[in-house]
Amino acid sequence: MTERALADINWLSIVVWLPIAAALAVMAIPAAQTRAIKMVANAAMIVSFVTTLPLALAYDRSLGGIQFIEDATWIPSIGARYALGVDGISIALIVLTALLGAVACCSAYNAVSKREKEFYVFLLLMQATTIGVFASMDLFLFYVFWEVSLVPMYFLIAIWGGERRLYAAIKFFLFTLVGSVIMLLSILKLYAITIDPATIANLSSVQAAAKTLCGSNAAMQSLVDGAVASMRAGDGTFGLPALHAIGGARLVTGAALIPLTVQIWLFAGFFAGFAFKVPMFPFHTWLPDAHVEAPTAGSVILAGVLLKLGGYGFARISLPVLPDASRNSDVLTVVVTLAIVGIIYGALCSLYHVATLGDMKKLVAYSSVSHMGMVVLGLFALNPNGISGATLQMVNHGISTSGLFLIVGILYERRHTRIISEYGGLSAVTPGLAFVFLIIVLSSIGLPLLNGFIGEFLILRGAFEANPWWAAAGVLGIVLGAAYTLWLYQRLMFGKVEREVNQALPDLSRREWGYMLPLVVLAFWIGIYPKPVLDLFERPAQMLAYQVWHQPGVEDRYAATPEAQEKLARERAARSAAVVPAIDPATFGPEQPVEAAPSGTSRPLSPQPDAATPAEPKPTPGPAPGGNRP
Amino acid sequence: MIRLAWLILLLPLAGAALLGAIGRRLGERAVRALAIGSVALAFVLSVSVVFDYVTNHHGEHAGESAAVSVGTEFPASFDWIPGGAARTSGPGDAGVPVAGGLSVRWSYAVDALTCVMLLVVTGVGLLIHIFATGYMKGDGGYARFFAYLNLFMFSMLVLVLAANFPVLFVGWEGVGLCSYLLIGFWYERDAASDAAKKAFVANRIGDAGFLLGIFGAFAVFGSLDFSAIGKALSDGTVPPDLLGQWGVLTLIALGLFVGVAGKSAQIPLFVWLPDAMQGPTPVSALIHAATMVTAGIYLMARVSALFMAAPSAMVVVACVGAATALVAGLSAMAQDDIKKVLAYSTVSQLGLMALACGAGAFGSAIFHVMTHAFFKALLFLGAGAIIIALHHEQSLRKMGGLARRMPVVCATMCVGALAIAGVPPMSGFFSKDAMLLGVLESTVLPLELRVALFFIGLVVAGLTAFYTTRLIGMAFFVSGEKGSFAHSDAEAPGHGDHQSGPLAVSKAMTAPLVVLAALSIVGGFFDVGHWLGIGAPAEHGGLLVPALASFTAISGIALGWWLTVARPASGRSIAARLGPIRVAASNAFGFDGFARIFAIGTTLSLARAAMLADAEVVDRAVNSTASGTVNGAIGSNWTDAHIVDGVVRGTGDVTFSGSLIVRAVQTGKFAAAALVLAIAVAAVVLAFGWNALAAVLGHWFGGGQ
Repeated sequence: MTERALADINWLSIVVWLPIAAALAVMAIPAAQTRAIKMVANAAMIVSFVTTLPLALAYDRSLGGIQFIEDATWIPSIGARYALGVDGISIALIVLTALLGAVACCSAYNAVSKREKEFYVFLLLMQATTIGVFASMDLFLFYVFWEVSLVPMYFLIAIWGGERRLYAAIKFFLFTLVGSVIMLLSILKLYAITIDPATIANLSSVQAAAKTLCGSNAAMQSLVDGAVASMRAGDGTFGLPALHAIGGARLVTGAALIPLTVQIWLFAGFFAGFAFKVPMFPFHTWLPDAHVEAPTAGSVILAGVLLKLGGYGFARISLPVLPDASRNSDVLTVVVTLAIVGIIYGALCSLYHVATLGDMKKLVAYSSVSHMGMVVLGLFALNPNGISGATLQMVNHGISTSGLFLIVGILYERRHTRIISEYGGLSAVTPGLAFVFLIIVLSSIGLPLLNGFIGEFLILRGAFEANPWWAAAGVLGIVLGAAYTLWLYQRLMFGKVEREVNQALPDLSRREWGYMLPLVVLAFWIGIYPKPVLDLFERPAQMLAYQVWHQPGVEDRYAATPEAQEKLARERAARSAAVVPAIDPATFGPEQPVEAAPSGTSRPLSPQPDAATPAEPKPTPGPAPGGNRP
Repeated sequence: MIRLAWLILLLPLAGAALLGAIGRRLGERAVRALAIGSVALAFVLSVSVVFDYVTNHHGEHAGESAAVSVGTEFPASFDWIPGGAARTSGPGDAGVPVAGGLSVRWSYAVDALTCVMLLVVTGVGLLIHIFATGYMKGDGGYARFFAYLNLFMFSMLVLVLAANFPVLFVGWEGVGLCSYLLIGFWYERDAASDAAKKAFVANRIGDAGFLLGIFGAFAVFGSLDFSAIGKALSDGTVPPDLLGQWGVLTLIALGLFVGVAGKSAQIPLFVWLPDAMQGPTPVSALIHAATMVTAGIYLMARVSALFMAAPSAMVVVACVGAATALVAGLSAMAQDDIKKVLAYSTVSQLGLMALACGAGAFGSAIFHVMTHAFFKALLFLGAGAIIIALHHEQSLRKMGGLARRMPVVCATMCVGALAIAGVPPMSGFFSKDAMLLGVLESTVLPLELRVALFFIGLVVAGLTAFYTTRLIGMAFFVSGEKGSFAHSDAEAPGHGDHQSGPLAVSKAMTAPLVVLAALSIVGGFFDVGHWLGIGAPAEHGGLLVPALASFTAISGIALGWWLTVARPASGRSIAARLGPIRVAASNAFGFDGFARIFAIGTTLSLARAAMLADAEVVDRAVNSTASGTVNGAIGSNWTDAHIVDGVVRGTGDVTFSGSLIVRAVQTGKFAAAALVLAIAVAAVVLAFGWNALAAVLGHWFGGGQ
């Protein structure tokens, strides 16, 4: 099946809505027939997973861009449309979501023994809404799915959670809601920009930017054309590709269509939404509580999928829609500092929990803070390696951290405790579990030939390119990660079995093997032959780096036009041959004050000497017609 | 034949996979056949690859350097980490010209250096596998042990066959993992699993530096292929500002050296190696003496061109190496555990090799890697034979008089001792001589440093002779007057009858000893140092250095023999008089304690501080904000609860999850949550600053009119 054929039969809608249909089917079954409910839910999850595979297989990697596009009128008065579409990044996350959904569903088979019907309904709703977020190409639709996805998770924690489940559930709900409501402000402002006469007067620059983004992807181009038409009619748009074009649009003066100050405010709003979700330090305190109280299946989805919404939001919205803000050195300093603090801080907190023989789930939760900090570091390296590494690491984190939560769940089902000191020496009793656990642990600490290494390697390499100190800070997280993860493994698996009850612990059952094996196989596959997966991200990652950097007045670092390459080489030669020993060490940073560079396609014929440099704190609206408010 | 090189490493991998999957169901015989068979085949293949290389390829690049590798494309090469190719816009593409990032191909290279390492790894590995089948007999984890050991062979072969940094790093981490698994093989012993973790984390610290070095190398050279890096350096395409005293290349070399310090046990990261002796003795011989720990030396030789271009880094390497050699050599004299003596001896020898690398004598260092693999494996395996025969007794003080009871072991170990001491014409004499000469005639180090380091090297050679003689003397020749080993026998019931009779050592264990002894004797005649043609191999100078070295070795042996065997009483009194110095030496001069207290202690207190901050500052801020707003809202809570609740109640029945929502909302918390949310949003918005808000709102929504 080709991409076009699948798009014609609305395949993406099928992927999104199938879990909801399954949820309805589950609701139709009487609550007492728990076995039937479980069977239907599990089958639905597996079918849902299978439906996502054609996306990955049929995605046209050489075409790139947004594919499988569906576009239908939804709320015409505000230009909101039911627009779906995916690129390689979203496809990987959708397949991951569906896989973890099936795994979580299977893992709950015996673990959940009250109100099964509601449990599986919420699980399926969770699946649909998160896939919806990844598949939305309309910001309004995105926001709706984003908000609705909170609800099933709230109930999963609040009903099937541990002792302090209400506290944890409310904390989770409030935290992420605070973030997303602030994000809503930014969304509204973006919409206001699309109906701003100043924007409409400059639609040609938007169209020029869109043309570069869409290239020969006709479906994507027509999606943008529709949005532009809607803007011209004064209805505005929430269409994401159109917003990307607006973010990249340049006035004839070379100034950004959205001035830098506005971009930074918008960035701050989106940042609130995404940083709470990732979660980045210091917005993370909901995560340990939520994980500790959530049931295993909830933890799997929470760590494996929900946290990815934040990272995905950065990649889908912050970077491409707000490129000038994203590469602004002040913004970068704040974001990357928080990411690095998160990497080290999360690792230290994990270390504390294993040192004090505490709660395993807390440990894994804090390790998520550390790993997701790494993801943000990669994204904000703003280069192809960093971005594709970060995307891959989101998938990897979904595999390894979900795997860790599953193993904690397997132990919990047997002993009903998550305290590390209750275990020890299990290697001898449960060799199968010890093997699977070892693979997951090694994947989590980034051992080569397992998935974690590829992601971390690419992220750190990207970070090094952006700023060597970032990479130097990032590797600290790798060292600490090995320390706490191996220590955890040692404390659970090695030593003598000291507790009588542990002597007779059963090894993995066939069902447990069934849902752990896919994760193990994936860990090996991505570690040994990641090409199929990385190929998915190649174009989108390059495109993102391009969108962020390929603006007039910015050194053309990631657009390898021959002229740009030549210019870089010239500069480097000049620098090394300089007789004056004044080599500015700051030139290693991402921000470079650059003289007018004849590289971009949309450059004005006569470069303005005062062309806006990105680091400049004030916007330079420029004398564009209608550019100033009356 | 040479194109089959990739098969060499797949054989042990297949062995490991099979043993891991079905090994538990196989008998010991089948496990033995699989484990030895796969390594033996790998050895045979290696020999034929090396033969092919030597006859057909070696010297074909005579004009440039013998180190140029033969083709990096093997049938099993593939795009491992595609980083995205650079492309300009064209049809069928998104119309965007983009730059690529780092891409990594999984590729192998065979050159002279690889050949030497291939033979050492598979040859010594095979002998140790054979020995281990005897040593591990009857162990519950027999199959698991050989699965790990085969996996180790695979990783080590990846390491030596790699054509670029990332693939080498795979082997590098892989051997680290196997080391972890094998040190902690007897995982029920806490000391073993602690030592395993310590080894892995210490190596990880090194790897952090290694990774940064790799990224730096890519930033400078635009490639991670060894051949490309070597070519860029020899062509002089590296910008001059990257070279020089403390240029970028120095930083890269130092980053790599941090990795070397982790893997090859240099100060201050060497602390893991003595602890690693918790592993079974064949593991100590294979991984912690002959092969894995020399990976760092191999790495430096592999990128010798890079190190040669970074003279300041070379000074650091040489000095750290010399210090390591000295500290570990002194420590080895004060150990009573037979394996600890050998462990510190290994650290000391690795220090010498690093010293040679720092002096630019990379070829001599690899020469010593080879001879060291022979005699140190021999000494470890001999120690293993003793340990098994004495039922896991490792203390030298409880041994003695074993010469008569284990004649083969005694004879072979004496050969090993003479070799490591550097007595001519044993192998150790030649390689150590080459290294010392390399230091003295170094072209990269300043004169004073060369002389100083040479004398340190000489002292270390003397120490080596002394502590090895002490080991041999205490184990074999001191008369068992104290009867200690008799005690240990008596403690094991049913073995008392072995009191004075010969101790049984199986053929599987003696045969490798004999082969290794032969290699230790003749190994020195294969001077690979010159054959490799890397770095700046020293020309054979006059007789001064060999004469000095032999004199030191022989006097070390004489002194050792005199103090341990001939006059043990005076030896003991000297030891007693040394007092605190001896204690310090036996504790490796506090490096271990320093690591334990400073590094680990600091990290753990940081962890405690972080967690405290999390609970007391970050989370408390959140909770108190929440509770503050809830308290403030308590007045309106009643209304909210009733109104919202009522609405939900009314519609709840028709929604599928009605009952759930009602139940969750009954507490009123849901309503409170909504209220708290609204207030929290307001608070956050206010926190942005009232003035800013006003300004922004004007700017913000004003545009839409």
